[in-house]
Amino acid sequence: MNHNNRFQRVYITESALQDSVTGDILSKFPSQIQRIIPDDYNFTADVCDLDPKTVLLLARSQGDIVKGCPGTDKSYLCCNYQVINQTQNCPMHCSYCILQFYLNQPATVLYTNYDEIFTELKSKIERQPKRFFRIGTGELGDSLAIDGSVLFAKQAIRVFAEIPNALLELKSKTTDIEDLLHLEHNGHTVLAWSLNPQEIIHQNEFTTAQLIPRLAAAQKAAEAGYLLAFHFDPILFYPNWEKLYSELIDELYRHIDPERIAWISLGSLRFPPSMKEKIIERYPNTTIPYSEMVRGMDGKLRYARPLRLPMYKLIYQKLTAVPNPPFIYFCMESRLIWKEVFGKEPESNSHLDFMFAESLYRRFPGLISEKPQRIHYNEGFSLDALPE
Amino acid sequence: MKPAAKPAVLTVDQIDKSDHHYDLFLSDSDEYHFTDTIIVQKTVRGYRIVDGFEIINAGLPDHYQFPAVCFPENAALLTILRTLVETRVKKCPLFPIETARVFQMTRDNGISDIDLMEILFPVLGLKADTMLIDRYLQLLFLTKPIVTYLIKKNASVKTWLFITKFTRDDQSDLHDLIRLRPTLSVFEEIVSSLYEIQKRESLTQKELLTQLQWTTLLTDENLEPKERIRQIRNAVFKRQFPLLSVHKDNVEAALRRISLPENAGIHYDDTFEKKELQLHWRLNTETDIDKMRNFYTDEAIRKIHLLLDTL
Repeated sequence: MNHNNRFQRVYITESALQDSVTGDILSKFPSQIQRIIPDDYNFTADVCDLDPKTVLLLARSQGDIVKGCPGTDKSYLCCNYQVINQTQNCPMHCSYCILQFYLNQPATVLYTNYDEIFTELKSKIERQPKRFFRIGTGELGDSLAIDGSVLFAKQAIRVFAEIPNALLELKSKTTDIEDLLHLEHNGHTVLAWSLNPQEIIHQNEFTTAQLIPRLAAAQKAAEAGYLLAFHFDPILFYPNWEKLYSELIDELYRHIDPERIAWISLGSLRFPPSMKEKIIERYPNTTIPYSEMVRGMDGKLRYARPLRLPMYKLIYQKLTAVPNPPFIYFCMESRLIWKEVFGKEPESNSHLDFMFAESLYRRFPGLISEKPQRIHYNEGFSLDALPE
Repeated sequence: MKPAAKPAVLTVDQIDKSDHHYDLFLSDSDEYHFTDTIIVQKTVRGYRIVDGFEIINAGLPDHYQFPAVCFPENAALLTILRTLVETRVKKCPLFPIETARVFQMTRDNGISDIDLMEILFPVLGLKADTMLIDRYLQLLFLTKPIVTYLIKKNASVKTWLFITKFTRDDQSDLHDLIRLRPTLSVFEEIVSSLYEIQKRESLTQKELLTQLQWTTLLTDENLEPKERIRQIRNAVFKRQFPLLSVHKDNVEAALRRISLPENAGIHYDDTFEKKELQLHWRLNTETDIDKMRNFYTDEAIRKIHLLLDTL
């Protein structure tokens, strides 16, 4: 499903106009109002009556956009994931999505200075050659929902193919991957999909691809030699969650060989308390904010532990009931939950980061040339930080 | 040039006491003082009060003179309202229901929302948002006991607007609770929980309240009002957080099995995000220390283990 037609207006800064990719992106929006603006022009007033999801801004990035994932409070474990924020915001509508409230900007932003971004990326990775990075473009937006993001993804796949110590993760709820299938990825790109049971997709993930098409796309990606990842995030509590998630995992493994899956993340619904009213306002028919949620140690609302624990346990049990199961981890969960579900917990965020590398090294021979050493992760630093 | 208000000295008999066109605000206990300037508008029948209705009941003789600010007959409604609101908010912020009445008046008189937002919103301290006008207008459908309660408790705008989510019929169910004079925070907790449970379980309020034995509990004359509130609060909480409640009950049962001396306490995180116990001792005397020493038997430790496991 192409989401370009969801945009009503496209603003292009004068400097972005000089980037070679800008013309290619604009050609994908022939029917939208296009307006060139000075770099410092504040167009907020022009679009104040429009949803930022319907306004596109093509601009050059100011400052660093290759960074560490902000994660959450130290009370919960995070995986030291790194992000490239080339796309900011998403044209799709998921009831639980934090982006629609988190991003305080009047438009969906696509940065066009690809060369500078890749230069920044390479120079930052070079500073830690012994560490293996996972870097994604789907943190502040969908990696493949807009043509401007796909164009970036295509170039990024080629760039990462030549970086020995990093994997690119393209995370999406779309299925438009045809343009990626024949690229030289050298095994260094992971195509990832967020997964939820079809009933939940239908009721909460509006304008996204349905479950089976997502899995079919993943199947094609695997056939093209890509590694895969899946994100069970957010896991939502429904009265029939056991049946829904059991069937989802059955469906996943019917389509996908677990051995092709680099990792699977689990995370239950969570959001800042201030977002609750906004969800209700925007999606008056949704019931998800009314579940048994408590304020967690990071101040966010999340399902009470007695509620999310059985969900995690069942999902984990099902996901690992196959030979050579994928690497499974929690996104923003407590040590207690790790221990109660997996029977073990990483010692720290850097340890979890190392566990990823170790798993990739073991499960995908040749992907990482040298056996990962814990010390390089303990001494590692985020890509937005300078070495001490 | 638009006609402006001018100072004047009027006598009481010039006031048209039957004209309550601008009587939008809640009467307060303020009395009329002889230095008070009231705001009026000239009409064919005399002078209509815009602000200062307390003068009517001040028992002043007809010939009594008082200072006034007088709008001409053809003054624009929005100009008068702006002056009126400015005058009122200088005394104290408007109650949301009062703001709603002002909005209603502008709508009734064909004033556009854009003009309303431009002229009155800054005075009211509101951000331009047409949706907000409609939301405020919903306040006019609140039942009288609810309005009285919210005013008395000086409830926030958020709470006022939240209650508009309840139909008038459903609001009347809340009167049983209001009669018991709950604190505002308890009232807010209970009504927001009721609303959330209804949404989550697709129930009507009547169905939910029947299941909760709402009326029976709240009107039980054998119980003190405080106890009735406590019981309904518990019932609502258990319904909203069923798993958490069961978990908590199990933990409390495990806790009760431990024979704690009266100078000791065991605390746990009631969100259950942490699996952790905190033991506190109050030690003043030798006896207190003895009690602590004697407490740590194998049996007590086993029960503490059990409690920790239950968490």
